[in-house]
Amino acid sequence: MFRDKAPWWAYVAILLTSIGAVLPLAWLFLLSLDPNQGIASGSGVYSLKNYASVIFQSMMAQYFLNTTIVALFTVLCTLTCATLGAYAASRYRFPGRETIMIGLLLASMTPVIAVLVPLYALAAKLQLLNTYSILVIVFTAWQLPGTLWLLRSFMNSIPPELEEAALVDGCSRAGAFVRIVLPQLVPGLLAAGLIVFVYVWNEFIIAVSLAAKQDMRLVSVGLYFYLSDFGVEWGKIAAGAIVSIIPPAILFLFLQRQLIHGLSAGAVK
Amino acid sequence: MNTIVSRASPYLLLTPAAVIIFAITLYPIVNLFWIAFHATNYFQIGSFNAGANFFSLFNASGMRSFVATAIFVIASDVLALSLAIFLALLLEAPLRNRGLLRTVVMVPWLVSQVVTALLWQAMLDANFGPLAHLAQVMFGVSFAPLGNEFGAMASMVIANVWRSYPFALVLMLAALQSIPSEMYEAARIDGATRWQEFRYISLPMAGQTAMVVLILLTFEYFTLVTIPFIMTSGGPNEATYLLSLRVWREAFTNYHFGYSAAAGVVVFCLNLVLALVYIRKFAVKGGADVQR
Repeated sequence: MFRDKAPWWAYVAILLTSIGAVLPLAWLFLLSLDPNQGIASGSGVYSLKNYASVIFQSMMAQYFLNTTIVALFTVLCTLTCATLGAYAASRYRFPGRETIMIGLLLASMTPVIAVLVPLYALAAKLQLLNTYSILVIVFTAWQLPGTLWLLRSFMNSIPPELEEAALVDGCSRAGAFVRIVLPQLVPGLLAAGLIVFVYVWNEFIIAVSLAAKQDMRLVSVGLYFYLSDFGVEWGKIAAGAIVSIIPPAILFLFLQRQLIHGLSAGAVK
Repeated sequence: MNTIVSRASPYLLLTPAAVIIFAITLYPIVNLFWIAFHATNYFQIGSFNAGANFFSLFNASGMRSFVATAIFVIASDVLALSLAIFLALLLEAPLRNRGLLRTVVMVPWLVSQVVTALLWQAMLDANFGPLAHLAQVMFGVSFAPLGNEFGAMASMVIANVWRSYPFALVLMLAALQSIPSEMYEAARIDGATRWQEFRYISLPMAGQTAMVVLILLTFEYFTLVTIPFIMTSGGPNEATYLLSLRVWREAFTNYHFGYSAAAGVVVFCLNLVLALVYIRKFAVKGGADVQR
């Protein structure tokens, strides 16, 4: 509607939205620098004391490690299973293919909250509560359908002629996959990996239900418990929140182009 | 032999994914229904109690959850979708620094639900929050939105929309951009007004995507727990005690697993209806469109 010419009030409207989008975070950053937190903000004193105490005197470092481990293993499991499945769904014709794909899609729409109680009981029975394994398994299950669909449409956009040529030349199916499909799949894998990593990094309700023990918490869970463990110390919570935003922000910054490329090749309209 | 292997191989390749997904979603769903129809005592699942768990869901307190969920979902849907469409229309215009503006507007996308909830809780704090401070200094009134029923719900909706509109905006922007310029030019030549361009070109062409966005947002809002969990804990006076939060609290705070499972069954069934509508209407036709 405004493709040829911006209305005069466009800048005003966008500026207001930008302020609304960024100002709360800017305020959070100021709060994290305020050592006299709990009193009215803007005392004019700034220091990195909150950051020092979050990094050195709380278990935040441990939570970062936990989250990184869980996120990396989740990415690995999700990408492996999804790539195998996507290859089957993209390169083979077999009875029930679309039914399986729709079934996966339906499974991915299961509300997390509805299955938490049975999952908790299951984890308790298998003695997997408060372990990395249960988080990796559940997160993987949750990210698999979407990743599989994404990688399949990505693979559909890679022409099969090259593989067929390789097969004719005596390459095995696995060999053709590794030498020809996989290298072309890299942008899709990067995009999917980024989405999964950030999902794990920001996930809260599964993590707080299945791994709330003090030394097994993920970053988001640790931030929440900061309130109850240390009292309402907003300056430190703000510092922790700012620190927790940094890894996904950096990943997005560096992988932005791959993300857009990977997603658009996957034919997301 | 060789043909058997190659016939079986697609199934074998799909097996790891299928096993994990069904073990973590399908099995727990069956289990959920089982628990929901039985009396429970902590982890002990007792005798079949013929839907008694469901009856207690429809008492006065339970009904408040249905109402709160409906208000929360509808208000968030309307605000997030209209904001996304409005911004997408503007961000299509030839603005100076358009790339930068698009990025800045997307910033809240990076922020997790936990940080969103903590951030807005702090911003709206009645004692030291900046808004309360401003209200006190400028108008001499106290400002405690999280302390009253309407304010708490409004705060939660605002925090939720703040975090989730960028996702809707990305999809709407992509949909608008795929409309060919010739259509607008032809309309311009025929003397169409801006409003007519929106009404007869943008809206019909991007309407399908708007529906998809609306459904995806509804999925997310309907099962959202983290924001009410942290910001309001369902209060004051259960005004923000969403159905999904009730499922969590009844299980993990009160240890009423049967009651929680019954609420979970209701959430699951409502969600399933939405999912089936979505898949029938969009996924089968559009193929890859459904990807987030």
